[in-house]
Amino acid sequence: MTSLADESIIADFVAESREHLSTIEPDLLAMEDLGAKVSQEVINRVFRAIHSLKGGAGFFAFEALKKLSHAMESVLMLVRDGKLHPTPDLMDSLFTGVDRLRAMLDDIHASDAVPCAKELAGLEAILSGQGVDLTETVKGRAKGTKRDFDLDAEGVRSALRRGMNIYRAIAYLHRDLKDQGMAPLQFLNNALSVGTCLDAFIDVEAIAGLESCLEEDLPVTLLFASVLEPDLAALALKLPVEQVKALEVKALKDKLKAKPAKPPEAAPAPPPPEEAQAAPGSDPEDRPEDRPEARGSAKEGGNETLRVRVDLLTNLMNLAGELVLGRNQLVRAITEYRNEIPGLGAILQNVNQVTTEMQEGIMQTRMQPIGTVFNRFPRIIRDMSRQLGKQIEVRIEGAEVELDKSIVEMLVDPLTHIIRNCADHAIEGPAERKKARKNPTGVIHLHAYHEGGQINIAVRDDGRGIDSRKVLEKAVAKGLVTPARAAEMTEREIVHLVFAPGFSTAETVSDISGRGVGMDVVRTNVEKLGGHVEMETEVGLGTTVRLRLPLTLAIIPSMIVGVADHRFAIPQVNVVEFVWVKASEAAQRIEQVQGALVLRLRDKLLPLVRLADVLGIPRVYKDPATGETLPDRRISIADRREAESAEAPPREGDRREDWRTDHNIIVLRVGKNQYGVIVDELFDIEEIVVKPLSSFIQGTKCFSGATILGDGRVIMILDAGGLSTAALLHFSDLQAEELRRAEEEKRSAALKASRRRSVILFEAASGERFAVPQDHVLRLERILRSRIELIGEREYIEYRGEGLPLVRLDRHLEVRPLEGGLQEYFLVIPKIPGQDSTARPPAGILISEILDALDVEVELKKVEVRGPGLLGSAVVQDHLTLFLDPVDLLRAAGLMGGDAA
Amino acid sequence: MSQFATFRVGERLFGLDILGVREIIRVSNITPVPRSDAHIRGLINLRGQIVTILDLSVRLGHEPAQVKDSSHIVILKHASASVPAGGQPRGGTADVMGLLVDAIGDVVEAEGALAEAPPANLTDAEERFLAGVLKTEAGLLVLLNVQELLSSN
Repeated sequence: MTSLADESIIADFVAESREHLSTIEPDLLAMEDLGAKVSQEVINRVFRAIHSLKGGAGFFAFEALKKLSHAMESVLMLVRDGKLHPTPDLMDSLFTGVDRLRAMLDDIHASDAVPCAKELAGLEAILSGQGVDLTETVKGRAKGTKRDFDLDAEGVRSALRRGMNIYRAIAYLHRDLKDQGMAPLQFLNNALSVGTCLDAFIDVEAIAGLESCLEEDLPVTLLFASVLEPDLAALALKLPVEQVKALEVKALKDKLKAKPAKPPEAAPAPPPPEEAQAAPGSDPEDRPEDRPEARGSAKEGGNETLRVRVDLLTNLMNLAGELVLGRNQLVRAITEYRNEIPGLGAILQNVNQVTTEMQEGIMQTRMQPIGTVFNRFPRIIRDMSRQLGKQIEVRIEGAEVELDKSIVEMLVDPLTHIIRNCADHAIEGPAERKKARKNPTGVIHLHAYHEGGQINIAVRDDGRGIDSRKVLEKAVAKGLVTPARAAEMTEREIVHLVFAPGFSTAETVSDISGRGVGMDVVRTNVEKLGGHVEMETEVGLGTTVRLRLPLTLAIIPSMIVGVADHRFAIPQVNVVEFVWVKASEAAQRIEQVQGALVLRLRDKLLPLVRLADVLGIPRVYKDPATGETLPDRRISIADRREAESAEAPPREGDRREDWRTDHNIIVLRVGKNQYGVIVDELFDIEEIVVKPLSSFIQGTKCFSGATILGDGRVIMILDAGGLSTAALLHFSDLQAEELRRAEEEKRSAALKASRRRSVILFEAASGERFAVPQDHVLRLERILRSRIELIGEREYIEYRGEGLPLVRLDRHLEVRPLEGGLQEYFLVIPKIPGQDSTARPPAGILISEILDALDVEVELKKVEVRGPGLLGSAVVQDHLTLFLDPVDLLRAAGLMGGDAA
Repeated sequence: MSQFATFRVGERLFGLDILGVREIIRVSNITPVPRSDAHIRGLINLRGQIVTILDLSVRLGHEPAQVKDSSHIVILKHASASVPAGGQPRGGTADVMGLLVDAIGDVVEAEGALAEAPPANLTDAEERFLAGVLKTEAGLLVLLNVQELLSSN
């Protein structure tokens, strides 16, 4: 009989059932722990899981599976109705039952061979203790049909008690299901979303009999109870009305009343919570993506919402993306005819606008409110706070903010993690809170909001905050940071250590105030979505974790870069900045550290990779003379040698001079690390539609997808993380190097300070600049030319009542003479070491103008100008300046201690 | 009676069941994929869908094909990614593959693959992807095993 269902459908059923079993395990444990106090919700969840398993088992005719799950379901029903308490014995039989079910699912076709008599007997014993006989059945007959059904009495009773109608629905496998694109399991789940399944089977007799006109179309019969009216039930099942028949309930009731062994009905069971009727598919733990749709179709009868397959939407979205590209091409192609064809402009504009709106509209269909994730937290926190003995309130703000469905789904885990941490570690117990003069009830505030084209999600608590000292202690103890580095870290850096992999381990971390469990996992997950995590904390006041996420994964703004004739897209979220290093600066800013290229950027060392090298693309450069693209044979930028080549071509001139060595560097972010990528060209930022990579290419690791540009060209999207891995970047090595350099810099700064000197800058002949160290200068004097007297070969001037010999620089150095026409000169009167300032100076140096007195930090170079008294030359204030040693000069002039004495 | 699409790689004539061929197109711009396997020629844009192109010549153990005027791409119907349980391939993620060939031949009709001895000078790779041999007017036609061609190693 299973031939009707092909293997893939059965495989789906097995997978779904396994999932059900694994999700109820914790609930069963909770039932055991809490006994009679267990929440209705937990029991319902277990009940629904077993119930849908039973439905499927009946559907596919796995008898043993059906029998056992039916017995378990019956027991659970009694527990739900409060007639049985989850005693350890009862739980034992449920646990062993689950184990058996699992064993059956392991080899579904041999499931009947799995022995389960013992488990069945145990369950039946429990049931018979309550006056429930599993073998008790009720004959039911659908209106207008001849055949009776055997219904399990307890199930019927329970349904009738809740005011449900009982229906027999027939679905034809081909006509109603396959042709409508509905899998049988989906049909079953559909039914479960509007009611309870009593039985499902293939009606073999019907094929032979009245309905045989539809040859080979197998009718699947479903007996189910629902509060819906017949026509609505048919609508919900998506079946023609005539195929859904209500059973004659009155007759059923009478039959049941006639039964003697009836359980006490004096105390009617409390009306079950509404969730009891919800589908297992709407279980919050189970496939959250189905929830809004399922609810919508069940409650509004499909009027306001429509259930659409996700792959259909994905496909539509891809097509919309293509349409945009097509429009762009169209616009480009016919722009020149704009003036020739009247009205074309308006048409283009219209197409343009409709396309844009359509794309936005389709994007909207994939958007889901973040509330679908947020709304599960109040319950999780309620459970946790009870367990932990704390009082915690969850406040939600911005639940209506919408995100792409795939992002919403992937946010569930990280957010759950963060919130569990809040409740577990951050929020204090009531007593401790009172002591700290806080409200005994802690608050976890979930807030989603738009900001700058991104979505922000803030999780704020008013707990104890994170003590950065303890974080640091722990990080050092775990060897995540060196003690030396620890001393230099900022508060913020320390707090962010909780995101470091290996910071938290399985061992308890409650010794650290606040959070810190598995935060690296949170970070990794959020970054996978193209987002970032940040954390702020204040000891005693609380912590805020903030996630920044893109609106959608499907369309992302990206920077288009070029290497040789390849183009690549880099998602903008990964781009920190763009650095342009001029050819002339390359040697200073780009260097090698331990064989790897690094860029010096604002005191940081940034590892550099050449995109061409990582991707194995032959490097090229453009010959500026011919515009030709030629292979580039240089080994690296820092090292200017050319690769040794056997047939080295004759070189024309020095290529270093004319080669375009400006470097375009894009700084990318991977987690908290950054690195630079050298590319040949930069193009625009474009909104690109991400297309998944073929499985043939995924192994390359460097790409996260592909896209089609406006001109129809296919390009790859670079994956910043994969690229850094492929380039074998070792960020930690560089951090050590950075540290070493910072220290070195400190030392050299001290050294430099000692090398600073104060000089006096002056001109002799116009345009020729000189400098003398200030500590070699006694005084500067202004003199009139008329006061210079010539005695023999030497010029003198009266200075403080005595004749002071003058020295002209051009007499001793190869410099130009002073201009003759000046009326005024200046004198530099040197200070002779060992003489006090009142002693008579030996001579004065005649100059034309004093320019400045300033501090310079220079390294003197040897000069080509020959002559005595020259210390060297350096560039000061953009002019080549000769540094003089006046004493040496005077000595050369024969004025030291000679005739002047 | 089966029909086979035939094409040349180098001098040899190869064939595929025409039911496995979606379409045959001229070679447009192929975007190479750095760091990928040698037999991945690159990606093309086929009416908005990205198609991965295998260089059949490399796959069969020869030098990379030179794109000539006669070169074509045979787009396969077969999606290399296994179709997920449940029946429908997930929208957009199904791999569409194309084979770069040197030239396109006629469509050949035959009663399945007759038991001809394979040509003696096949390369190891060619033998691996061999699904059968047909004698045709144009010479021996080597039928290729698509599954094996698209398998990952």
